[in-house]
Amino acid sequence: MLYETLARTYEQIENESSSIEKTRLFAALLKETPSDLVGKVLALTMAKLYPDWKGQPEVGIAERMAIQIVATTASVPEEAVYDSIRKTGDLGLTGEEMLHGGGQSSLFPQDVTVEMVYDTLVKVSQTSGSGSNREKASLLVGLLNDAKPIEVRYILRTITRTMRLGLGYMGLMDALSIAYTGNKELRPKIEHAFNVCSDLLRVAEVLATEGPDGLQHIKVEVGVPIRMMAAKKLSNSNEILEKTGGKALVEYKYDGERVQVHRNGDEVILFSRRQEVITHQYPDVVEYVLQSVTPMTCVLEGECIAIDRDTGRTRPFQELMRRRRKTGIEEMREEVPVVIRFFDILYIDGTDVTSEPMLKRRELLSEAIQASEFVDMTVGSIVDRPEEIDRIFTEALDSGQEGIIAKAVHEKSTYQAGSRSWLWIKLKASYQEGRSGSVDLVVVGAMHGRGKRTGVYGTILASAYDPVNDAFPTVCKIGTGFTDEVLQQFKERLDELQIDSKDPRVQSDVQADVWFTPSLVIEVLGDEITVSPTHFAGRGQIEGGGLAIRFPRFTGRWRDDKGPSQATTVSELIDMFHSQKVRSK
Amino acid sequence: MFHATLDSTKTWKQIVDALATLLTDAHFVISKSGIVLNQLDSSKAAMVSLNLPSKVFQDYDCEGEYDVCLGIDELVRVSKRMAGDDRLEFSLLKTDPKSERFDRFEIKMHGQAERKFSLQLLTPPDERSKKPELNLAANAEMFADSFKQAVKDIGVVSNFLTIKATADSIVFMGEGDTGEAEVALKKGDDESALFDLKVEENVRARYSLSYLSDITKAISSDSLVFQFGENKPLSIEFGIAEKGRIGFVLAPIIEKR
Repeated sequence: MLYETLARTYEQIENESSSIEKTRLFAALLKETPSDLVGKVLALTMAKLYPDWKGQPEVGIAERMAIQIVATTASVPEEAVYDSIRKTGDLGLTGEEMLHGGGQSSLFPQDVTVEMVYDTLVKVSQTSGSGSNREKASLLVGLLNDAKPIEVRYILRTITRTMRLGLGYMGLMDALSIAYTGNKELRPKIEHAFNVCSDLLRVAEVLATEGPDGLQHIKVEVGVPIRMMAAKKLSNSNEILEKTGGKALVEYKYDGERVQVHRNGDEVILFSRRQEVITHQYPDVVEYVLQSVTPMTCVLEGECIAIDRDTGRTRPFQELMRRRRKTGIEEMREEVPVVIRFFDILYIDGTDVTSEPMLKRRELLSEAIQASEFVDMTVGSIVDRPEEIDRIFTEALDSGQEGIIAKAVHEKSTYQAGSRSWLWIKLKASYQEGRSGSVDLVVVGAMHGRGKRTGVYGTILASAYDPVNDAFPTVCKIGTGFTDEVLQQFKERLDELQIDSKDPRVQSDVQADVWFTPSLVIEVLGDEITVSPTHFAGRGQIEGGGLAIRFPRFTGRWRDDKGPSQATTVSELIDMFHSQKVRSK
Repeated sequence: MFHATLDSTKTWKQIVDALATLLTDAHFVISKSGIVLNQLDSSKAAMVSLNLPSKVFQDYDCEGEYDVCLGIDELVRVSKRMAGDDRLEFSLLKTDPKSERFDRFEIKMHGQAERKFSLQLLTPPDERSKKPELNLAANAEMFADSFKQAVKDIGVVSNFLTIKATADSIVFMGEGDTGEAEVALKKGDDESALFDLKVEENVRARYSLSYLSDITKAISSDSLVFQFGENKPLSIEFGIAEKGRIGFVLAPIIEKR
C-alpha cells in the first residue's frame, strides 16, 4: 500500500472541520487497507508504535533532531529550517515546502509504502547505543529522500508526534466501526475491547482479520492494564447525591498515586494512571501485595500514599513523587515509606468482576485482602444525607487528604473501564471556592503558539510579587484553559507591553520567547502549591527551591482592578504552601 | 572454508576506516576470487564498495561463497589493537563443530604475541546490494589531496558542492548565506592536480558536503578517479594494496526548480 494514499487521506482529514467527516474519511481509508496493514496504518495515524504499557521504545525524535533531518535532506543550513518554521508554525509544512522539487536524492529511488514507513520507524525506535542518533537520523533521511512532499509532511509529523488531524481515540474507534460494519453500531463493543486490553492496534487487527465476532475474544488478562475508570467533578454535596441516586459510598480521596495492581502468582505488576509500568518504584508495595492479598491471580486498584512513619499520617503528593525515579529506590523507600489503600477489584482467579455492582466488588475486595499496617481498604461509608458528605469531606481534608470520592451504590454501578461517568464523583479542595483559593499573577513573558495557536501566544509565564525586593519571581507557565477568544485577548493586551529583553525585576530561569513589562494581572487557579527547581518565588525561604503552582489554569478573570504590585505576594504563597502542609500533618 | 593472510595492518585499517564512514555493519561476500562488498548507507543516498581480489592477500584459500556480516564498531575496535608490523590471518570458524554454518570471523595478529579475536557473525540481509548502473559523462583522475582540499574550501561557505565539467576543466563551487567559493582545475597544465579528464558533454551536479567530507577522510591513496553526470550520482574510486579498489557512490542533490 502506497504511503501517498495515507498521506492524501490525512490531508483531506486535516482540511475537514467536521469531525463526522473526518471519521468517515478515515473509515473509507481503513476499508481499502489490506487487513494485515490495518494495525500499521493505525500506529502511524496515532504516531505510536506500541501502547505505553508495553514499555517498548518509541520513535521519539525531538524537534531539534527533526530539524537536522530536514536540513540534511534539503541540503540547507539548519537556520533556514528554523526561519521557515517561524513562518509556517509547523515542521511538517516546512519540510514539505523545503523538499518540494528538490533535495537529496536516493541511489535507488523507490515509491514509499506504508510498510516502508512503519518498518523504518520500528528500526529507528530500536536503534540504541553510541552513535544511535546519527543512525536514526540517517534512516529517516533515507525515508524522506524517497518521499513526495506531501508524504514528507506527514512522516515528519508522525516522528515528532504532532499529527494535527483532529482525530482522537473516539474518532478512530468510530472509524473502525464504520469501516467494518458500515455504521457506528459496533462502537460500544470496540470501545469495550479497547478498555479491557488498552491496545487499539490489537483491537483493529482483530477486527480486520477476524471480523466483529473476534472482539469477544478480547478479555481481561492479568499483566495487561485495564483502562482506569475516572470520576466526574462536582462542588456540591446535594448535586452529588442527586447524581448517585440518593445514596453513595463516600471514600477518602487520598493525596497519592493511583495504581492498578496485577498479581499472577509470585509476579506483581503495578501500572500508573497513565499505564506506565511503575513496579520498580515500589518494591515495598510488591511485597505488601504478596503478603496481604489472598487470591493468587487478581487485578486490584488502590491509592499509594506516602506516610509519616512516626505519626502514620499522610504526607503530601509532592513528597510521594520523590519515589518517581530509576535509581536509589531502596534509600527512597526508607525516606518516603508508603502504604496502599485498595478501593476496587476487577478480576479474581479467572473471573472478570468489572460488571458486578460497586458494593459487591467492595465485598469481594474485603475478602481478598488481609488488612495490615501497610495494606488496607479505603476509609468509606454509605451515606444518604448531604451533611454527612460535607462532614466526611471536612474530616478528609483535616486528615490531610485531597478530598472525597462518592460512588453510586445501585445495581448498575459497574466498573466502567476507560470512562468518566457520574457513577463516581469527586469533590476536591480546589474545586470548592475559597479552599485552595485562586491567586492573582502578573504576566511577565510568553512562548509563541504553534499549530492551531500560531500567531498567538501558546504559553504564558506568570509571576508573583515580591514586595521586599520589588521583584517578580516566576511561579508557573500556563498553557491550558484558554479559548481562542482569550488567546486573542492575550495577544492584544500583551502586544503593547512587549519589551526587547527581560524586565530586570523579573526573576526567571525559564527562557520566554517574548518578555513583557510586568503589568497585566490575571486570576489563576491551581491544584496545589509545590516546591519547584524551576521557579523563583520563595527561593531561599523554603527548602528545595522555589514555589510553583501545580496545574495552573486561567479562570478568565482579568484583574484590571489590580496593579502588578497588588498581585499575590511571595509571602502569601509561602503561607498557602505551609497551610497545605499543616493540613496534612 | 575460508583462510587468508595479509602482511599489512595499514591496508586493513584503511579498509575498515573506509567502511566505517558510511556503515554500521559490513556485509562482505567472500568467494574464491576474493572479498567484495557493495552496501548502501542507511540513508540510501550513498554507497560504499570494496573489491579485494585474492591477489591482495599473501595466502588466500576459499571454497564456496559466504555472506559475512560484521558490526563496524567491533571491526574498528579490533583494528585499533593491531600493531604496525603484525601479520594478519583471517578465517571463518564454527563454535559448534557439528553445525553446518560458520558463526565466527577470526582475526589473528601474529607479532610479538599471537593474538586472536573471534567476532560473532550477524544475520546477513535478505538481499545483496548491487552497484547501480551509472552512465556518467565526466570522468576525471586527480591528486587525491587536491580533491580533499577542494571539499574543505567549498565547505567554508556552503553545505553542498556543485561540480561543473567542461572539455578541459573541472570547477568546484559552493554558496551560502555568507558568500561563494570556487576551486578551478585545468587539464593539460603540468602543475595541475588534474591528471586526466574526459568529458562527453558539459555537465553539472550538486552533492551534499556532509557526506563528502566524511567520504574524503577515508581516501587513503595518492590519486583518485571520479565520475559524475548531469544531476546524476558522483562516483569516487581509489586503489588499495595495488590490486584492490575502494569506491563511493553518492546520489545528487536535485536543485529546486
